[in-house]
Amino acid sequence: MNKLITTSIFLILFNNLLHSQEKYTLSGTISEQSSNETLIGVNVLFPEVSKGVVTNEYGFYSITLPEGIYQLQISYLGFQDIIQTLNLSKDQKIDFQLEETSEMLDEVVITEDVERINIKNPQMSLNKLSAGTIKQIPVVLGEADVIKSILLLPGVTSGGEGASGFNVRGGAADQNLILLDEATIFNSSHLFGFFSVFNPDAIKDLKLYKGGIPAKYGGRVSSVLDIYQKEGNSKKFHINGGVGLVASRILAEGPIVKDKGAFLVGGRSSYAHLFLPLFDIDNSAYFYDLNTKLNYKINENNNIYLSGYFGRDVFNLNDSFKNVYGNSVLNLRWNHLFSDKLFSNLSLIYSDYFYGLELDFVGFEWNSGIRNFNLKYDFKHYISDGFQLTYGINDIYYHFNPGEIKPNRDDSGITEEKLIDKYANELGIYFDAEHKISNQLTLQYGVRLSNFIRLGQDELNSYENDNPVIFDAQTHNYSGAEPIGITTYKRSDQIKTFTNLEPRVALSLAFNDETSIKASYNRMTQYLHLLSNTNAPTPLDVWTPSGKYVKPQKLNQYAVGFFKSLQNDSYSLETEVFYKDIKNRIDYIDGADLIANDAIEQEILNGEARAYGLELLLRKNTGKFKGWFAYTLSKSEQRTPGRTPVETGINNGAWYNTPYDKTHDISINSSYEYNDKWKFAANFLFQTGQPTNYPSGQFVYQDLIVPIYDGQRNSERLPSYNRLDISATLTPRKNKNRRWQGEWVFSVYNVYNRRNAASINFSQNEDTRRNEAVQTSIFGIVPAVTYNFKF
Amino acid sequence: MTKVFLLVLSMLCLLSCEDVVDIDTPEGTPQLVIDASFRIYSDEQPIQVDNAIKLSLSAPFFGNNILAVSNATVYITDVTNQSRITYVESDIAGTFIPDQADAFIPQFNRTYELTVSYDDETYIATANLIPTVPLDEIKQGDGSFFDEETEIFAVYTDVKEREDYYFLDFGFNEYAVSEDRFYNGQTFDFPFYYEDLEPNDQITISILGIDKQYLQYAEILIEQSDPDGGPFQTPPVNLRGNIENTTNSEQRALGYFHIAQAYKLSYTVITP
Repeated sequence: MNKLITTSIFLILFNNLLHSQEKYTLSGTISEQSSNETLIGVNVLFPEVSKGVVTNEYGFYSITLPEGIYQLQISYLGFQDIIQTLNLSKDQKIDFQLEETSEMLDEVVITEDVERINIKNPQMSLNKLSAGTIKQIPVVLGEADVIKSILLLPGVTSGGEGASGFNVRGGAADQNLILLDEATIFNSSHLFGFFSVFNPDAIKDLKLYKGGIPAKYGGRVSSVLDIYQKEGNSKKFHINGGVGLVASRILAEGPIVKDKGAFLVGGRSSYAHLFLPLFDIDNSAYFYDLNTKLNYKINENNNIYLSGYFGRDVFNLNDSFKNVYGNSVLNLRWNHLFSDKLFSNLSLIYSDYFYGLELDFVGFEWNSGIRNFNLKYDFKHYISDGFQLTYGINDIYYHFNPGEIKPNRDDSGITEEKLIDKYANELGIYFDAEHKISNQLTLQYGVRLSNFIRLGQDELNSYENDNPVIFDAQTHNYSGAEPIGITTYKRSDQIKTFTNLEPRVALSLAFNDETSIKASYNRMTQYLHLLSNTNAPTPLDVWTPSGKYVKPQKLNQYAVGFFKSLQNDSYSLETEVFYKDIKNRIDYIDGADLIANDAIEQEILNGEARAYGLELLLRKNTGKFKGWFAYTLSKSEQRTPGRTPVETGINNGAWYNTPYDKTHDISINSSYEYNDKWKFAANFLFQTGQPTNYPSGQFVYQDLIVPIYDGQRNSERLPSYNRLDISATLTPRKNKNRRWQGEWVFSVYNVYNRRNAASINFSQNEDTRRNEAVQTSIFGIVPAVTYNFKF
Repeated sequence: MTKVFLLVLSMLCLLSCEDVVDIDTPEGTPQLVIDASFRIYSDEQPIQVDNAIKLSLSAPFFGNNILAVSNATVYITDVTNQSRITYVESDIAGTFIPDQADAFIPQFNRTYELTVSYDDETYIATANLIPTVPLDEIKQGDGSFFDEETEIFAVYTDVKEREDYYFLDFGFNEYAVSEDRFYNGQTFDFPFYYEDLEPNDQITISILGIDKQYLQYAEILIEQSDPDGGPFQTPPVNLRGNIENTTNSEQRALGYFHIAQAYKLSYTVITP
């Protein structure tokens, strides 16, 4: 590792030396002409010398070239190219504004360029989606959805309809780092997993890293979903919104100071009582969220951004059951240009997840959650046209509230109890270099040093031999050990410290401008664990830090891919194979109690996980007909062997399928622009059924019929999952030349009304007293209509 | 949690549904099942002791018959004084009762060992009488989550000095378990929602004292015998009771040997 650091330091020096001739830097920001919204991933190209750069997350670019006269081309699909002759004889700062090629209702619909592959960039296993694509994808109940959209990409699945979260390359839902404007989102779902927390109107761009994850990111082992909110229009005031069957949205944006500052406020809420007339009881279930963003350009070298998100789910059943949960995020950022080659961003982020529950029929209130404060300082150094260095530091302080219970009324029998709060600090220091060795070979290499300190807490159990779980050799049961003592710590004490070095390496070898192969390796460490023993996480699940009894998860991932761009990027083909293994994946003893448990270590065993597979993505990027075909062949499994030869472990220590293992996964997404009035889109999905368990027998105990599950865990399969969704978008022609722009989206989810199995359960029918296998399916055919507007 | 999920599901997706499907389940080998959960109703006059032991064989899940086991030797040893209570098969096949009526009234602070010999293999398990508290009253509430539900509270007062685990029998094969962790020493109203009860129906609720190990067993038992659909299920587990096979430790018996002090109370449903 030291060698890598020395090598890269040498390379930095070497580069500087080599290029200390007459060289000048062109830098600036690229934004959209109509709104000043900065554009991410715009190509700044010098075709004669085959050099180029793309704009970063804040629309900034910088490139250094020898003195000369060049053709400069700024290109971003859906926008008019800027081609001009540039005499580079001194350092120059030029901000470009791109103009859309045509009048369209949805200004982001045309940014699909961001989704196309970059043949020479070593970054692989990366999928990008624009807000426009997300809004075009037909979805259940017509509610455009970020998470549901990424499920159509290769390597991404979920625990089924209604299941929260998503699974990337056979990883668990808690192994995804979900960032909204750089702030961690702990629960990405509304109404369990039916909708996601991201309002598509407020989103500019998203990237999903499935592998080859740059050193900039850390803390989760499976993927990074990096979502950027729009900044707001600093030229004109605009409102857009939509009315759907489930929810309505409205978003306002406009200048605070023209061309210098803008605001954006977006709100979305589902209807609480829409479905209630069908039920004669006083129940409600709804969600809402609020997105805000302010930005202000202080001067050419300084920008500040303030972004916020607040979302809640609310359930109220007859005033007897009240449940509120959601995320809050606040982020203050300062972009500063130290020079035309050194871009920096300082972020101060607060985020939390709150879960509150009141069960009046039992007589208690419960709340739990996680809070964190995050300080990030990231630098991007455009050292030369062939060498860019990203480096930074990131420190996160966590406060975990595993739960607190209180009586909710005087006559309640419940006594108040507070579970022991937990505290931790996670520090990451990284550097990442993108190094163009030749026109064919580009390397990306970096390392992240992560350090996690489990800080002192009021009480921590100690156990004989530090072993909180004991095994009964007679009954083959695991159970919690009796603590032998309790240690009290000061908040500043370090109960346990972990330090890990996480190398990340990637390369791309381009045969020509259209074809390349890429390879990557990344090691990552995850210090937080979501305690969840269900097939998909529930909102009630709590996060717990690594510490004395829970070890951090460690991942190694290897991936190789072949990338081809065809017919001038009209088509692209991406194929990848990957293998990953994760150490210290926690598993749970039989009958584990994970909620309101102060001694969670008594329920946990240490296991491992692995996944491997092949992904194929064929895309058509241009024309009236666009879309993609994605296929994934993969395997995801885990095992938890016994700690000693006597112990059985989980599933007798053998490998078993994770609940989200899907052998085959095909998704086809397509859209067709029939004319300027009608647009059509369709999805088709086929997946191997989820792993499940069938009983090998039954027995009777206390007059209950009890199924026997003594086979391999998750070795059976639900029937395969498949469905077709279609949508049609109508843009009335009268929209032309008027301020008010409206659009109707008609969609049908699961067109052929297939009853896809969400689960199959085995029990005795209460009426017939016969044993049955009962299949639950969630969505049948669901037609929907949504109206979107903008003015 | 699952209940709320199902409710949201029913509110959101009026088209979601359940279908009975044909599944070929694997067939395991038949295993001996020992159902020895004793209830000692000590405040009844005379003391009522439910201490029958039911022996049967496990069967394929879609097999029709659970076979009773008759040709077994069954006895209980009071470990404290090595006295033995012999069990014989009653008129009901597979149900074994003490050979002399009233011969066996379990006492506190004694360890009892159950021995079953069947098919040349010997199974043993031990249990102690676990104390509990009487039901103070049964109350009817007017809350409910779904239609056709009747809210009933089983009210009992926990003992502060003791870690208590409870098993509640609501009749109709409906059971629940609870621990006193969040209501230690308090009077607690345990809610239960009956389906399809009519005014004037009579219900009887029993409360049983259990230990932590049995609570965990019963929790899984209740969950696995009546699972909820959807994505929030825990993986089913191989239920292992407290019965050992001393002849062949790999070939275990299913079921549990447990002795509970118990109380019961009846209630007549009123029009809410």
